[in-house]
Amino acid sequence: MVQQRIKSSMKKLFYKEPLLFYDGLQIFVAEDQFSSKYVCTLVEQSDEKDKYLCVPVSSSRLSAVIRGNIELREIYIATESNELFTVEVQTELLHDLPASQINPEELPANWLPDHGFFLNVESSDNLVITESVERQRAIIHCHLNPPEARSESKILADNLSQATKLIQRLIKHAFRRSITSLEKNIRTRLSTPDNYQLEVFAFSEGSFTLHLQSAIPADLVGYVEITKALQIIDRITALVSTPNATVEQVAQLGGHFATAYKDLLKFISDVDTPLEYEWSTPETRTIVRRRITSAQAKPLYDALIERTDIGSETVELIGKLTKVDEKMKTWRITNEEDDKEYNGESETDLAGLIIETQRYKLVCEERLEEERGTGKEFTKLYLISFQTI
Amino acid sequence: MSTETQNHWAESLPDGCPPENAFAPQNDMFYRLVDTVPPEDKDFWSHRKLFPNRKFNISECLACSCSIISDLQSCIRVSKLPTQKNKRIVKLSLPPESGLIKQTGGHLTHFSWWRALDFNPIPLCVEPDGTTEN
Repeated sequence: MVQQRIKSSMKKLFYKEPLLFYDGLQIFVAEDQFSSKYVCTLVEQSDEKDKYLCVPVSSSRLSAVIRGNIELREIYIATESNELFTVEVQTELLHDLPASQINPEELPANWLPDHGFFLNVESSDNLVITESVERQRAIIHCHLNPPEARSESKILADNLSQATKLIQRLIKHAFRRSITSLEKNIRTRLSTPDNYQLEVFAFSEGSFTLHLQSAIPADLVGYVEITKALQIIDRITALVSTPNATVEQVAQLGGHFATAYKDLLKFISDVDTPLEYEWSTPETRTIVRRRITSAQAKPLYDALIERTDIGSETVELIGKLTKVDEKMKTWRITNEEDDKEYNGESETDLAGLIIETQRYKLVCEERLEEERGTGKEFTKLYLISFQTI
Repeated sequence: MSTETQNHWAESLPDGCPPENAFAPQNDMFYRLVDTVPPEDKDFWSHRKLFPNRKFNISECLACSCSIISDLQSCIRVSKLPTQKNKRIVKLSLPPESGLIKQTGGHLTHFSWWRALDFNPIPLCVEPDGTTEN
């Protein structure tokens, strides 16, 4: 008699997508190194670890589970491959989950969901939402429509690189602005490039459509930090038909955001490249869509450059000067707050300033400028006034 | 942990928590799975308070919140899951002074609740009459 045995085998699973959250992650999709999918359900919880019961599923069965066409219990009882695994999660890392195979006949009854549990995750036919759920990232589709893209799906390399750079720059400064009201330690933690950087992962037709995603994935409830930046940009782009309102709103967002938005508008206007964007995150599962035409960009740009006061940001530095060049009108200071050196130019006379011994408070204008040739963005400080303290 | 935060909330919350877009409920009805009826204070503890030594796969702010559901049918559904099946459902109307809430997760009926220090939810909890109540 051939005795059937379940071989004790281990494999590694990787977290893919959350399916249900309630006081923690209850159900999620995982995959193995061959991209086979598993549905994992929380069965035990303690102060040390969470234990999940995982079953491999075909694409069609996974789709049926997600759409609520099959009971969750059914996929564990009537398995497609007679395989079940348990996964124990002890840390916040879900990338490398050791899965132990168990005998389906020895499955504890209390590990099974009750009859009548249908998942029914809200699904969407919209590609942006689908991509955000599948990739677990914020997804932005930018439809660029320069003259060369209007008859066939193509774009000049210069226009593509310029547009990509300007969009990334706008998001960077919107993100930085979005965290200014937070306490310093949180701001410092959040202001890493990972939180606002975008990755291009595809192109498609429909003008010339750039598919962008957040560099870092969403957390388990689908939240992505870049959402903050996108919401700020939405507020501004909702006002494209009203230049005066745009100027008022942009003025509140600081000089660097204003410069980034002005430069994007200039590109849209000068290169005659209407821009339409749509975005979504796994958390929102809704689409935000905005459009800026070339005809709208020009008056917006003109209105913004008229307000010279909103192109820069004021920075205060306190400390001792380490270098002053009266002739070249340049200076350098060690700022006490962060113990860093700052240097810049001056629009006022520097005669009589004392280095090394006297403490000063410098009020500077910080402008966003670009390096010639590389186009790399940098900030430059211009001293407006100073006082001894 | 900020002192101000500790003074306002039932649990210690990290800085910047609750998030800026969390809002005060306006006597909206919510449902929660609890161990006993009437519930005990522990039934409204966050994951962080229940499992203080765990590292979670969510932000610390979310770990310090308590899940509530805005729809009875969705709550009944969750009650069929292995770790929830022995629990009972209570409904409670959350007044503005109960704290702040935010819709979180892919299911639109799921909310995270950061409970105010002075708000005691237990007297407000009742078992819903039937499975069709909304």
